[in-house]
Amino acid sequence: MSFFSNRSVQVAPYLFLAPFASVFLVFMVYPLFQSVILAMEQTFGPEHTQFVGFANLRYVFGDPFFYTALRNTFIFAAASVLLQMPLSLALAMLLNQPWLKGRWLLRLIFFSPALVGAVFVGVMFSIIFERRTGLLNVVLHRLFGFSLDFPWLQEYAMPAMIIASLWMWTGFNMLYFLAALQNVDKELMEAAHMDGAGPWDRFLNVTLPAIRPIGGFVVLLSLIGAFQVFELPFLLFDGPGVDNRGLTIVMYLYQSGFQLGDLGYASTIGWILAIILIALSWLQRRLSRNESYS
Amino acid sequence: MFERYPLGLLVILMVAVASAAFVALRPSADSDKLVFWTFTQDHQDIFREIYGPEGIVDVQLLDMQAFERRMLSGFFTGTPVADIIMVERSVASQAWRGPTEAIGFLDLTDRLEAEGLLDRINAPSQRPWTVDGRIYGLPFDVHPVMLAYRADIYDAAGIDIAQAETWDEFMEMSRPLIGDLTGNGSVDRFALEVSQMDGLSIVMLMQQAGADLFDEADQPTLNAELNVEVLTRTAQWFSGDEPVAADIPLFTGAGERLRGEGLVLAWMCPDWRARRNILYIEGLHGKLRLMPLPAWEKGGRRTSVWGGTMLGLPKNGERTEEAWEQILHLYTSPELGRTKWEKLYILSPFKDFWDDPVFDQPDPYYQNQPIGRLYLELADSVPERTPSVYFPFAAQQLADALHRTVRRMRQSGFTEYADIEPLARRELDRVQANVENLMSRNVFQ
Repeated sequence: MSFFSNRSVQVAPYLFLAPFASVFLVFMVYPLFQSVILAMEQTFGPEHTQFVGFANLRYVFGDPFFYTALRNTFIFAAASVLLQMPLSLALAMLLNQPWLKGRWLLRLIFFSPALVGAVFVGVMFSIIFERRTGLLNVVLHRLFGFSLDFPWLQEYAMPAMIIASLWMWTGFNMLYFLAALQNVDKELMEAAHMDGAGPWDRFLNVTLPAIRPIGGFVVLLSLIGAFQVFELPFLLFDGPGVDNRGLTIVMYLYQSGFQLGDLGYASTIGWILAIILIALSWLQRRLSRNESYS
Repeated sequence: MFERYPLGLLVILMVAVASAAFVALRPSADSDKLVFWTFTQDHQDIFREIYGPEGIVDVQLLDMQAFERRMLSGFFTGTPVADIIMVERSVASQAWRGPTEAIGFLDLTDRLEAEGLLDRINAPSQRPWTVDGRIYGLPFDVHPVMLAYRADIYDAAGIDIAQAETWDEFMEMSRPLIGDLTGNGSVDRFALEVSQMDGLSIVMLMQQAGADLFDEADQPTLNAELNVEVLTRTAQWFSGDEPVAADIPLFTGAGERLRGEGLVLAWMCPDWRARRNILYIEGLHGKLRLMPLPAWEKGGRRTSVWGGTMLGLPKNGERTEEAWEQILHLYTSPELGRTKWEKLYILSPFKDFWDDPVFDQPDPYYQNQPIGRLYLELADSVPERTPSVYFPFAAQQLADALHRTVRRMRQSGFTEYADIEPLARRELDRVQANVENLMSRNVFQ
């Protein structure tokens, strides 16, 4: 009896862990391992595979489309951080002012674009940016005599993508900053005020350090989101756009894997994207750690 | 009782049991019917009409993406797909990316020969479904291309544009009607729609000239001399202060509105697009006419081809003989041939139907032209196309080549053929290299 009860005590933790462990192994570890193998293969279904070693990887580094996708994605990610973050913060600070009437309504309005999803935004902006008939050109034409034929989707694909993304995500990021701003120590702020610090000094020396952890998190979140962007350009341009100006890494992965059927190459691209994201996360952590030490 | 089993838990349990029972007891799909996959509502509607609710075929509509995934998954793993597959060219060609023995469609060559059907099918329409000399599908359409033009505007100006035999003549005759008509500083009317975002326009023009994107051995020929000439001349249409061609979206509401408002005088119009005009540009009723495409040179081909669909059978199908009988019956049924034209404006490639008087009926939308007959007169001269899986990629590359040539031409202020030709050649060399590079990655071919 004691043998069995001792035995069950020994086995019990493993039994409790087993459901998670089996799901984790089957749906996470195995596919991860399999995707490394896939990155070294050419496939046509599971029955026709050929091991090609590092040929896919070598091809990536000489592939002009990959570099185009990489460049576009980096530009989009940089714009996401450099334009979205200040705008979100400014908006959050404005909507955090007690004197502002109807703040709850404005918060809802600014946040609402994030609720509709990238597919809706992509379709809507593809109509807004149309030449001759699009809302943007028509309004600019009526107000400033701007050319109705301005080719947003053809020649200015990246600005079009960035504008659509700003509309969608600025309000979403604003919410994080708003939460952070509401947690800034009021006593510290009053003390700074009493010490004669002006609004800019208070912002730089009290507000900014207080919201920095959230800021770092939002930057990381935006970067990861920007590197994974797919639906927005795919729907805006109905593909990679003229001259691949809307081609992003994930769209190139999709094209390679699912339109051309080259899953091995798509897996290689996927791993490169994963490595970039891991590196960015590490860098962000490293920077925030240095900041907290300083 | 309620302490041990709270009400919420009981409700959840009851819902779970009820939904499980619903799923388990739901009547199963009609297993004695043959399953037929198609990808457009129009096709589903006409097949359902032909078979009726009690028919032996269950016609199912699948979204194109889902169609592709399910078809390829079935082919790759041997799991069941539909008994009959009606598939568009870009999706079907995915099946020929791998080794020939792995093609998931049934080889129909011997069956077609045995039935004596080969000579009765329009030969160029058969080519996109023929891989290494073997036929994997029955062409569902011909899709010859004509030119739809604003007869009301040309007639009012006293111009008989149908007399234009070449593209040069067409542009020259249209010139008095185009340009900045309102004096607002921008061109309000162009002669022809040519898309730079979608490769289909330039591909159609190249195929009309007699070049294709791939040769018989499936090697890319994008930078062939003929293609250089077509790209140069097409880019030239966009040159100068008053270009004759406009880049208008092909399949968006905005594009249809611009066509309806008269931004362009003409556009290339395969049979299926003749119906699209009727559906989406109602305002042009009685104002459009169709004419054969102007040729690149006098005496040249007056048509091209746009789109393509086939009927095929899966190699691993469990009811192959029944399915074959059905598609034979469908294919040779005059009812389908007639319905396809009446409802979808799609010409059948089965030549036995071509004498049907349905094609001679005047169409009031097109000023009572017998447009079925007009399309049929061009049917056997549609260009042949190879079945390459790389066609969509190559077509998109050609759109980029056109766009870049036009941009560089405008930046340099070039308007002459001799100046534009080197730009076009450079672009075609670039896209040729891109396609070759991509194809070099495929170890199965």
